[in-house]
Amino acid sequence: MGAMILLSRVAKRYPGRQAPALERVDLHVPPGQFVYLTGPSGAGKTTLLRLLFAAEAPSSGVVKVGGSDLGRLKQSQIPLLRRKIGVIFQDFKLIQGRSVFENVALALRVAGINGRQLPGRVEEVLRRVGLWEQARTLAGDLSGGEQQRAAVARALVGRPPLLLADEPTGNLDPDSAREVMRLILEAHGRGATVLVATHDPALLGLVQGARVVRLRAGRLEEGA
Amino acid sequence: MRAGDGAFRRAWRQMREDPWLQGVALTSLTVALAILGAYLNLYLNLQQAAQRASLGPGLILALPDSAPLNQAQALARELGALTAVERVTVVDQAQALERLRQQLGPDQDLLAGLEGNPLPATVELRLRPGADVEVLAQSLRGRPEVAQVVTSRPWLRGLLQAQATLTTLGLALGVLLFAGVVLLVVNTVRLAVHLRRNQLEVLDLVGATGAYVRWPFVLEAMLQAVVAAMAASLLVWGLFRLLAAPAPLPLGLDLSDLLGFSWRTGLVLAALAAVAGALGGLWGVGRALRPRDLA
Repeated sequence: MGAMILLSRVAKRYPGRQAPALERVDLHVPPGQFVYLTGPSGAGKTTLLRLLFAAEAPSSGVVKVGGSDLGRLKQSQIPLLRRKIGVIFQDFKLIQGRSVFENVALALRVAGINGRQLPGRVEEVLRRVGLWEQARTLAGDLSGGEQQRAAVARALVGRPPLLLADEPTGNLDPDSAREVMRLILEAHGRGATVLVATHDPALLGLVQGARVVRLRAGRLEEGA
Repeated sequence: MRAGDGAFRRAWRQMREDPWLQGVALTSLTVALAILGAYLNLYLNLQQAAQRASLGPGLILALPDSAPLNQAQALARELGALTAVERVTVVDQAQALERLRQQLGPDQDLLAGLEGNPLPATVELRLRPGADVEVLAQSLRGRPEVAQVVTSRPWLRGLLQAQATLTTLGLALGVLLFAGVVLLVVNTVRLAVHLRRNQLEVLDLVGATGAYVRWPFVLEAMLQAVVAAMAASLLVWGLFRLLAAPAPLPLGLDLSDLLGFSWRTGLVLAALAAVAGALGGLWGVGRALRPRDLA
């Protein structure tokens, strides 16, 4: 079976730090799988996610996403890779001075999707996350839960086959956290491969049958 | 998708989102371009003045008072056939007096006391570049129909000799001022990149290419520079109008020749500003957004 994510003997070291952030990490995630990446703060979860969307390069080893070897990608090909990956962050990373609609539409505009197709797709995804009524509201005027839902909408609007979430509920109250996880699970139900990094054990019970991998001091272990 | 698609629209949007930055950029660019514009204007006006002076007759033949006009015309025809001569003009006594009257301007009353016309008729020769003025003057000095041969004024010869050096120096100073404007644009763009760091991070995250991010910055810099050039042109025009001497100068000299500001200079300034905007924009955004920052 092909892999949506494949990490082979991946290591990541930062200058000035004695302990490696990641050490001999092997991971095979087939398409359509839901994976929790757990571990305490500083275990290397964010580093691993950043390797997957080519924000960083590994010190050694091979990282493949959707069959592409990221080590062999040219600089100009990285944006094309990122359009196939939806990424959700704990701090939302929305443009605060722009409307919810514009924040979500941005993911389509950079991919060259404009004209009639754009409003329809943005409306569809905003209705799905329950933010259509606030489409014209500035992102900075939304509550934390709403901002995260807008970030989920932006991650999903391009219909990416891979969804990465880094502590997506870290800044949210329990109700908002459940709602965001429901949306992520819904995306998984539509066929997306999902990797959620979290240190919150309460989240693990929300998705039945999800695979759990644990990072401990830069090394990967199967199971919670 | 081509990089330029919608870049202008995105540039305009960026500008509307940052009115404070636009204010800072336009103010500083207007001042810098006004300095460049004032210099450019003076330089072009001086060049024109020097050109006018250098295009004056290379040789003037004063004719005897008794010489009839047809004799002057025959001499002009003969000299006009020489290869060294580019143009021949006959100036009769009345024309010479009228010319002096115009040169005196408001002081032409000085001529009121004259009895008759003391000025001789002349044949003015403009020589081709490289023609030897002295050799031609020498060959004409002995002719009976020529009372006096006047060659170019010594100060003019000196000016012409210095002109090449002054042109080079002037161009060098102009390039220096232009480079200053480019550097100002570079720093303005870097400031804009710094202020929009979060926005750029988001663009990077959703898969924007480097060109998609860069072009609006370049266009924004060009737009700012052109708008600033228009404001600077107005400033320089107003300043030069203030500086131009309200009272006419003696001998028909008019400071407005040096302090005039034509719309053509404004166009040249706008074109230079657009080039400075493009160069500074590309340089600034290239330095601020190196590939590792966008990946």
